[in-house]
Amino acid sequence: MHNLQGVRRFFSKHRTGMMFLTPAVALNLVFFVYPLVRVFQMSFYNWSVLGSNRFLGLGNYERLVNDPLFWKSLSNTVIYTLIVTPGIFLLALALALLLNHKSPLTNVFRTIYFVPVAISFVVASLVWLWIFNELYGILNYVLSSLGFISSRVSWLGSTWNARLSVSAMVIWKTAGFSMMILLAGLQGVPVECYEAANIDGANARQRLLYVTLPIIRPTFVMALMVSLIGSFLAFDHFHVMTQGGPANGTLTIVMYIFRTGFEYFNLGYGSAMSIVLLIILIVLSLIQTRSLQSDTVE
Amino acid sequence: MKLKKWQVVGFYLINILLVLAFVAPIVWTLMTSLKPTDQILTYPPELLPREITFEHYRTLLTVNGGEFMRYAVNSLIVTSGTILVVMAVSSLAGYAFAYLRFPGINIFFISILATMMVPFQSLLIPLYGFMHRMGLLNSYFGLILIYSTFQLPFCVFMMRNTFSALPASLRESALLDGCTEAQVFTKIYLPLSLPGFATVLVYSFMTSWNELLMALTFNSSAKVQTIQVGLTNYYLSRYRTNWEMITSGSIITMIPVLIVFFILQRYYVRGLTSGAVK
Repeated sequence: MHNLQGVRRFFSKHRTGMMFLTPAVALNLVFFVYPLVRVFQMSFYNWSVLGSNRFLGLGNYERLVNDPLFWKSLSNTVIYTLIVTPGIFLLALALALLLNHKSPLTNVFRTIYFVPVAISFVVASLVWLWIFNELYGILNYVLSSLGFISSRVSWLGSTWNARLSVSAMVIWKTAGFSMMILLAGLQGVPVECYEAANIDGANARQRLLYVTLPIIRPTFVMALMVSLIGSFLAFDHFHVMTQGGPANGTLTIVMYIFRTGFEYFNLGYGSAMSIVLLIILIVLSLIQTRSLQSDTVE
Repeated sequence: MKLKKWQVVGFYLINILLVLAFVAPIVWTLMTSLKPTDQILTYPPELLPREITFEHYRTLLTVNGGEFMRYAVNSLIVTSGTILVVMAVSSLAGYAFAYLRFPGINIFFISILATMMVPFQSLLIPLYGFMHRMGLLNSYFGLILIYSTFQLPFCVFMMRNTFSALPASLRESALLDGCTEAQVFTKIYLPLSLPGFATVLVYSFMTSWNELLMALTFNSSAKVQTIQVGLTNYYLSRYRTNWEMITSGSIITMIPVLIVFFILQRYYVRGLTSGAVK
């Protein structure tokens, strides 16, 4: 650093403050800011593990645009996100509305719906793989005893079966999380708002439309965005349940990045994909903060 | 809102059905893990074990010189290490962001919160290279530092809110009485912030114990594998059709995190909703 004198003066002047902040800032700089800068740089290179890097300019990005597997992994991820996000949201909303009533057992029910959130995606995947098992799985048995299916279904055997089966698992696993967010929103509507609406002569429908919904709209956005972002970054459950198959039909972006980087050791190309992922996610986060801000301003 | 009698009955009926749907997969896994081997691969499946056996748990914990135990211990080391680092670092930073003012402090705050917006998944490749050069691959320490970094934003935010909720006058009068900033922090504010620490603890425990992708990337060698990686590899490469191993492994893997969750769930939910609803 060329401005060492200035840095030293700054440190001695704000020594206490820096003492409190240094550990956090150091971790942040070393393991977050540095790799963030690095991934941009690497994406312009043919980056080799052995250290002979070749500058490619936009070569990796050109390759990306022409890589059918990249587009496939992107569309797989989008399709999965579009299945799973409404599924989680609707189940979570139903659970939250149900548990918005007080009863001696409400807290017990709430805890139980949250249990799948506490276990890992790996465990949840294995639990459901056993249920989905084609030969001995309990799902095939239950459905055929009830007469819904006439022969055993291979739940992970075709692309669409696999997508829907994994989605079912994820909805079971994560609905409790969104439920908690929505429940907090529902319970956060101040009673005074209803009282004021009543004084103004609002009926039940008007109270729902003009009081409840506008107030919990930020919570809706939050619950939706959390599952949207989460599903865009899906890795664990596809890695365990489908390994991206059949025929790459469930290969997600993060899985493809992982393979490109750590199985094919194509670090530069993997970095270019990472940049695309990063941009998509930042746009999603910005939409989230924007819609939350516009709510508070109104 | 007062419910009519039939509505109350409906409320409990629906909830009981939902409870069954939510716990059935886990109960089914538990049942399978307790069945004698010849009762597992049967069709039609039988719900209850003919006789309860812990044989599969014994096999799982002793196979290959007890390697599954080692995965569990590895996870315990990484998880507790991360909790300690994250508690120390986030309480210090949270205090600074709540009470100390100096130029540039907002940039640090934004930079730490930005970690929430940028998915760590997009930084795996540069992080791998960096960890390699630092000799931090396949070490507990490396994984602890990375976990801590990516758990910091939530925890710093949490601790800052905890400290801000305490009266600032405590600090001012203690400083006037001649306490140093460090004394104010350790003697006055830390003991009053235990709920915040509980939230950080349960969040950090659940996140670290359950994490797969970073553990898979950075700690791939058998000696330092975490329980999630070990269990995944059991299914993917060794015991794919051995459901007694997979189900008992799943039960063992979920027990610690469920215990912590049941004890501290109040704090976890509080953290979740305070971060989400604000």
